[in-house]
Amino acid sequence: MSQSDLDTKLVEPVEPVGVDHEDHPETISRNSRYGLILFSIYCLFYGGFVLLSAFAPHQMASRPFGGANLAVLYGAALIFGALVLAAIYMYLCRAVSSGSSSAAASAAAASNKESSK
Amino acid sequence: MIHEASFTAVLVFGIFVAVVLGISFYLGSKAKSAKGYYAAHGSVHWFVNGIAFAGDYLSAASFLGICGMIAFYGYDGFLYSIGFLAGWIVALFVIAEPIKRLGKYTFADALDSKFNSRGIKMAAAISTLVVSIFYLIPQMVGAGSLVKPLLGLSHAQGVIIVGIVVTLIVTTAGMVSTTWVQFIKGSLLVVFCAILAAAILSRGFTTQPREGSAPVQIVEANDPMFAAALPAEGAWKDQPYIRVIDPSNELHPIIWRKLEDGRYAKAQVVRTTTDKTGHSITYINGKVKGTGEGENNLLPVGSITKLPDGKKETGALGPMEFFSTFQDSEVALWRNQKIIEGDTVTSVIYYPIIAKGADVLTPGSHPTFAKVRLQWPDPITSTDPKEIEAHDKAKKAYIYGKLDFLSLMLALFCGTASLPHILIRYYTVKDQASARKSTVVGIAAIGFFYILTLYLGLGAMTSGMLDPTDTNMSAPLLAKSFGELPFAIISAIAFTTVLGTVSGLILAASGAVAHDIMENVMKRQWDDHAKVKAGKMVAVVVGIIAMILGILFEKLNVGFLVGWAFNIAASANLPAIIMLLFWKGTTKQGITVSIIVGMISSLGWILLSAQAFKDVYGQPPENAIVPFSQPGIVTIPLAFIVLIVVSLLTKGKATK
Repeated sequence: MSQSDLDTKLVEPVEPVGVDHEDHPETISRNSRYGLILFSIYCLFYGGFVLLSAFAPHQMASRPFGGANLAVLYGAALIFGALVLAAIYMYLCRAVSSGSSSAAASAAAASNKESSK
Repeated sequence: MIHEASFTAVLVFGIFVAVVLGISFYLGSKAKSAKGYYAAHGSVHWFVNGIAFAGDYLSAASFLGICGMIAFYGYDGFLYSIGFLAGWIVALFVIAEPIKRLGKYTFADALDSKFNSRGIKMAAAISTLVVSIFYLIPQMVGAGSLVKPLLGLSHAQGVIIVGIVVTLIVTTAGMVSTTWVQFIKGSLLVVFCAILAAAILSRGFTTQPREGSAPVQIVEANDPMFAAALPAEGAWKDQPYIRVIDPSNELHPIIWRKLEDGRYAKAQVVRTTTDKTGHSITYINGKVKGTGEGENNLLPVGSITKLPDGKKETGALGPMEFFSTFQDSEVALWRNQKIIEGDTVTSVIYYPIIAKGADVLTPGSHPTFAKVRLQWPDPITSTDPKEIEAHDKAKKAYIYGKLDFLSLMLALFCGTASLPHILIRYYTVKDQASARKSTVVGIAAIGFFYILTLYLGLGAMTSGMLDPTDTNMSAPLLAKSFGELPFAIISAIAFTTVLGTVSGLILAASGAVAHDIMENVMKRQWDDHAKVKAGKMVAVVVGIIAMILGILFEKLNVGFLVGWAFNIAASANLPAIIMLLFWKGTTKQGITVSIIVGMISSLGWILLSAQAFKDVYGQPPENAIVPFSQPGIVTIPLAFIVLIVVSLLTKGKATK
């Protein structure tokens, strides 16, 4: 990234357009509902790992697919799982807010274009 | 261990750090107002901010601490990786958007947005300050560990250099430049660690010891040379060692350590003698410490002793094959023990133990985590009071051991979303959608890096380059096993990592004092210029405190220290944030009291724990007052209960 690019981004004033559409109480409550559902799913997944490590560590040494052991696989799955859930969340929230305000959507598209060059 | 500086390494390192600082100063010169100083005008692009999240978060603890812990103890370091990343789920799904809607510059603003209470501002600011300082300690310790092998300086000198540079950055720049420093360093860290991991995979494992590394020598217990062993007297009584006179150097016997299987392994010995005038000399393996002729330096360690199917080397390995091969191998891990032989002589013995790869790759090889492998004691029928007492003790050890582990995993999970320097990053983007996108980018970069830590750690464990005296140096020394240039680059990145994280933390702390306490609590009427100036003064003071603590806590693994910071953050801040967002009955008194109770109880618990007794005060850990080291599982619920009770009691008053 060139120096002049950095400059434009830093002095750019805050756009008023993108701000309001996210503040609809409906959007807010829908987003936070999605958030809490996904959060509960991850909690169970993480809780399973912690309980297994604490109370059945010998299970963690087993090799379900012959290669790396359960400890490594479950740990890696927790990390990938977080990313997958985060991507799902972003997708769900975007689907809602882009429908509610076309101005915001185009502003977002413009800023995406800006960033990709 | 003495590390010699190399000219190339120092040069590359110097250039790298200078460029990053140059960018930081240049960009920082554009930020003059208070909003620019603390929140980068709310105009940072979400992608930049997302990588900056990674930069902020992948601190010295993640890079140096986790890699070091894996390199010395295996899988247990990865538990921190998992917990640190899982915390982002709390941040993204529960905290990110509401906090962005509420806040202005600081965490205290966000908490206080509904009430305008001085009490909340004061409590939140103090907790920000405490958490930031606790989080600063490991960064400073990490900085010291970095400069040692690179520039050949002492730990204290390293800490002071970092402290001064950072304080300079913070006082001249502010949030804009820290954001860019974090962005640059976050990207570089992830990219170079990926390259390093690829290099580890292509090198594979070998049983051939690295040139110049400490050989792993193991003999049977009935070896003829032990016939002439020195008697086990004084401090050596009942210790698992045999001392054999070295005919060429009679004052310094060779020391062999008994292994679990009954055989003996040759140890490296650091022996310090002090004469009557207080002058002390350090001998290493029988010769004066040094790198010249007739002097000895501790030899670097870490090797595979046996590969599956009797192979000598594996060649390049796939990412999964790496683990399956490691599980079927045996590695030499180095441990140490201090033996005080009297008022004037102290020996530290570094000895290898032979561990099975499969064992190293499951939870419980680190002493802190060993309790996850405890079994519930079998019931006894004996009526002997001694046996009953032992049985009760075993039961207690089991319960407290499991609670300690659960408590740490809970604190890691809840801590991320409560860290002030992570929370302030939410104010640097323009809206909630950007906050969300930033977090997802951050999770991707951080998650990828944490997967890499397992490769880096195990790569370091088998690199033959580890310094047996310091776990925190493992990652840079691993890079050194690939040459001076990778070493210089990785060290420079790690150094900017420390700089970046420390400046973010100092900024959060200075915001807490200057903005929240002085301006909002003490009601000083200041213009923008004075506000920024006050913030910078505070930054200098916090910087100095951090330097002092960084020198004091040298010996602790930085990952472990961060675990404590997470406990305090989660206990003090999380209940207040969650209840404010999700319970309408929350009152300002409830929030204030809960922050204070959460902070004091978790801090107090840590200071009274066995770990603090052993590693900080040098006292026997049995004297500790609390039953286990990690407070989270007690203090987080406690802060929630306090908040609810106080809120219910004060409800009538609040709505009168």
